Amino acid sequence: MSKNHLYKGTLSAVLLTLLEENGRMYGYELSKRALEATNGDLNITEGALYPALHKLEAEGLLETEMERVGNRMRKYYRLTETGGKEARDRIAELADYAANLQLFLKNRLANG
Amino acid sequence: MVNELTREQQRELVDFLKRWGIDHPLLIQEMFDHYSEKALHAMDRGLSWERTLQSWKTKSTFLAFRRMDKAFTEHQEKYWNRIQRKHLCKLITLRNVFFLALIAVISHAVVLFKVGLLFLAGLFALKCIAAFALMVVQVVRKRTRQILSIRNMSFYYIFYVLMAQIAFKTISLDEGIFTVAQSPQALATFFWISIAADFYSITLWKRVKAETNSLTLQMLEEHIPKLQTQ
Repeated sequence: MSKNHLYKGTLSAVLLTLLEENGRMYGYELSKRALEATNGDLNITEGALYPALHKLEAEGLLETEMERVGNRMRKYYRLTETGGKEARDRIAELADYAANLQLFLKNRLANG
Repeated sequence: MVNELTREQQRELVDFLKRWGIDHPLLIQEMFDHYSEKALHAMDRGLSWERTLQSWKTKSTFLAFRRMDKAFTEHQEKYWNRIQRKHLCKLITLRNVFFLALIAVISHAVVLFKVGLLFLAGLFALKCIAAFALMVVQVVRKRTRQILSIRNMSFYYIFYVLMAQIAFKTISLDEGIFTVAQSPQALATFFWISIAADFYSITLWKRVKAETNSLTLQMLEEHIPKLQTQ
């Protein structure tokens, strides 16, 4: 069962993290890598992926470059300097959130 | 393994993207690459092109494409507005503001005609004096005498004398009030000669600069080494 709804609100952080780890990536590659990295939990649809990428680009966190691949033009995304800093901040934020959630669940399970 | 879609499949894919709600050319380009990759992977898993394409033709795809297109167009507009604002801000420098103000003052003076003529006549009279002084200096100086001939400087001088003469002829002082005595043709002639004179001065200035640089270079290359060896 897809757990996409649980990742709601973390999409831009996930994208920034993936780009921080891999340098430059294109849209399809990002969605595939997100699926692999979450053991198939996070299936990012085009309708969510591209608006999020374009928003991050408009905010100046991502920069793009075009490259010819076969007879297609491919748009690669990479972090800007500001984007790199933002990615690190969001990862820290997300780690805090995950730790708190884990603590909450641990207590809940311990109390039966 | 399929490496690339056929021309026919590519055409069908572009058609699908457009029909299903993507209008912006840049987004079509990006989605074309995305869906080409997606189709190639699906076909690698054994699905036919027709079934793959058919599986995308849903209402949710249509709604998602429309949403994406709208958001993309908005982002593009914001992006270009931001770029335009950035460039406009760069243009607002002290120098540019000063020149714009100067142009505005001159234009205003020209619109006021009588004052404009008086202003320009004065301006070109000053230019004429400056040109004469410059000519004397240039001829007296040995180094620049090699660069500019007497003929060069005479042309320069004549231009400004002519301009000053026309300017003063177009206005006359009548009971303490300046009036325009000449026709618009005289004014037009005056402006054209003024433009030609300025153009000629720029050309001369460039020539002096280039020649001076080359003389300096010559001095550095030839005379200084000679002095050092003596």
